[in-house]
Amino acid sequence: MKRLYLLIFFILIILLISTNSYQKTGLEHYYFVIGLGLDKLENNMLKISVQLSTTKDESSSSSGSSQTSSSEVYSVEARSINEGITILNNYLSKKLNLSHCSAVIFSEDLAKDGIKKYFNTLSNDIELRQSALLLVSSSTSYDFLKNISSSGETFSSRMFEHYTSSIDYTGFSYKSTLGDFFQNLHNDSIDPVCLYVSNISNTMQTSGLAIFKDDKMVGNISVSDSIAHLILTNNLETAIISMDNPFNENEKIDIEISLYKDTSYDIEILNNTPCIVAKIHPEGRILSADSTFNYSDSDNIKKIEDFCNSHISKLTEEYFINTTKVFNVDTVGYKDLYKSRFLTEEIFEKTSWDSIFKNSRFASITSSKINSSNLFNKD
Amino acid sequence: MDNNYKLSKYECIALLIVVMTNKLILNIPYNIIELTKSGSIINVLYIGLINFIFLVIVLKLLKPFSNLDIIDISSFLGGTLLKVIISILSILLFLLAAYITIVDFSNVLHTIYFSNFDMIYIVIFFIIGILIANLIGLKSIINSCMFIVGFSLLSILITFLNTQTNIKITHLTPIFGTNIKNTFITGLSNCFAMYVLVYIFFLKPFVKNQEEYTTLSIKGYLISFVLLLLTTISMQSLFISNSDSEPINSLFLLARQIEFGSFLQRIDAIFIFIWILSIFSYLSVTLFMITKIIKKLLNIEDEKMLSYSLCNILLGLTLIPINISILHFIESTVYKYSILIFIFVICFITLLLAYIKKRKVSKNN
Repeated sequence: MKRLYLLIFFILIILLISTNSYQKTGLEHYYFVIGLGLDKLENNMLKISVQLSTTKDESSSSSGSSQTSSSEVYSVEARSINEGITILNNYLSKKLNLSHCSAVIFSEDLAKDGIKKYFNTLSNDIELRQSALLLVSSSTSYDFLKNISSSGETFSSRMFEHYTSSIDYTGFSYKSTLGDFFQNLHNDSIDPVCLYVSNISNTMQTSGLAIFKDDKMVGNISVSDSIAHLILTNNLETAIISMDNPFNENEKIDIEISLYKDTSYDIEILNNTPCIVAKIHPEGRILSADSTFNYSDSDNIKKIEDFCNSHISKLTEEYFINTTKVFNVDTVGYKDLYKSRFLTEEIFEKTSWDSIFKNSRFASITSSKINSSNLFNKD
Repeated sequence: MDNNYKLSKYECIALLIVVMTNKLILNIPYNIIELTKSGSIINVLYIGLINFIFLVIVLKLLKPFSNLDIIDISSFLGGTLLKVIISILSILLFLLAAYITIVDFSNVLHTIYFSNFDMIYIVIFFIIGILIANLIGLKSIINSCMFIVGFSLLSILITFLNTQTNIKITHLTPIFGTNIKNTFITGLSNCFAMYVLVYIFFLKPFVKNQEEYTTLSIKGYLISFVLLLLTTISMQSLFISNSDSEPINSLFLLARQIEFGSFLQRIDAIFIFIWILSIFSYLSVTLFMITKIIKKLLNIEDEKMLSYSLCNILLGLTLIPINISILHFIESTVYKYSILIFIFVICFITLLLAYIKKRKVSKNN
């Protein structure tokens, strides 16, 4: 019994010592970063901008909603990310916490210089989520954060959500997360891409994809190319494409497409030239129609399907030219796809893929299935 | 201390699984991928088969030695001298395993969650835990193993299932890796991954029903092998074969990827908690094995004081300041080849010769 009392006494002493209230940290000791922006300055300096969530008292508002929060943007000049965050910690008198950071934004200028060194710092940060968005902004990231702060979104943590949610219904967006980018950055078979945003009328809009060669941004592609990218990488949810109406040259027809089967590839090397054939299987719903259309006629549907096939084939072929021929990058991972046909790396290396890839030829075979989504099949 | 506690069939299997899951937590699948690249799946199947054949042979050789471990068998074969040699080598191996586990995992915890604390507090936290478990005895160690084994298995299975969406065939090809030689000859050194084989040489005296030892060893081995295979497949989705990045803890990085929609994220925190308990159980088992070997070697009656001194030695070892490159060298080279030499050369030859001697003695009788 004596021993038990002694044990309890020691445990109490240890508890009292270890639960030292002078080291306690609570929410009031932190500023939560929603967005982190990095810009290039002269003399190898960085401009580090942080968008912080600040609470807003809405009790006086007529809506009566308490689920609102605003945000403020602060920026400092520093030689490295960690130095910048230390300066901000000192300036703001609270510790910055990155565990709720939804997006990391690089300015285009910085991305063109190479982002690996910054990226390695970020990927080593334990607070930062792998699912945080990675964006490249055509303007400075500070402007981006300022503009997005005044976007009218009442709940600060949702400010970047539309970039990811719109992937489900537009196809203009791409879920470029830190985790995915990190993997592709360290993989020599695929070149990384991320979402490219630009400032249009003081709002930040998706403008396609930023293309990287290793860690340096080499250019950007349009939103229609981003649909092609999603089709070729099997990441397409749904996208709406407008194409010429086969029944009336002056009109356009809108089709919502998705993939009913994953895109597959046949890759051969003929005369030292990789020949890539993509087999695409989209299914579509006609969203708009003109006055002369009859959906119940199978010949009409067949005609639309043929037009859709040629439109998607053209879209993917243009994407291939824009990425491979213009930027000399492999954003789909054709190298990995071709490599999977070999038993060992050693045999694959004999093909000298890296040196011949730029001369690749691309063709796509599209076999689409079209349905009407209208309430009336015939007008 | 409960000296005479014997393990049931399920307790023994649970102990083997706890040993294996801790090896998975501490980067073993990553070491396999690092060596054999995209040929890791074939390599794991290959080493799994080789180790299984080895296990069956070992179990066959162990059959005549009821209630005896490799220390007793070495004593039977070569008298006190061989017993001393095998005992010292076993102690060194277990001590190295415990040291690497504590230092590596404390380093992970320090980096991930407790960067504000000195690492010594994390180490002491583990050492006090394993000391208490050893002072209470084998029953408490086994109970903690039985408690944690389900959670450990669940954490590995959830990690595997969650990464299935990321796994592409291109991650696993070319199926034979860099070249055939690397996968099947150099890759043989990955046999160390099935570390549970070490325990097969030591667990027999602790098992209640000696007849069941073969079955339970095979079951424990097969479950461990499946866990290794699943973790290797999951890791290949994250650490692509030609990636140049090296993680501090690969399973943790894999767990960080787990998300159940946008609602439930960062489940790695729960997993780390489970793994802390799992490491506790594993370290307790390791310390228990060292205590038992020393007890046999020196004929000590009460091993309570041994636990205190061993924990002090372990604490002293962890206080030696070493940098991460030395730790990496110890883990990937010293420890790896020590296990291979110990299992496949020292223990196996001793057992084989003892088996031959036993048969001769039986024939003469």
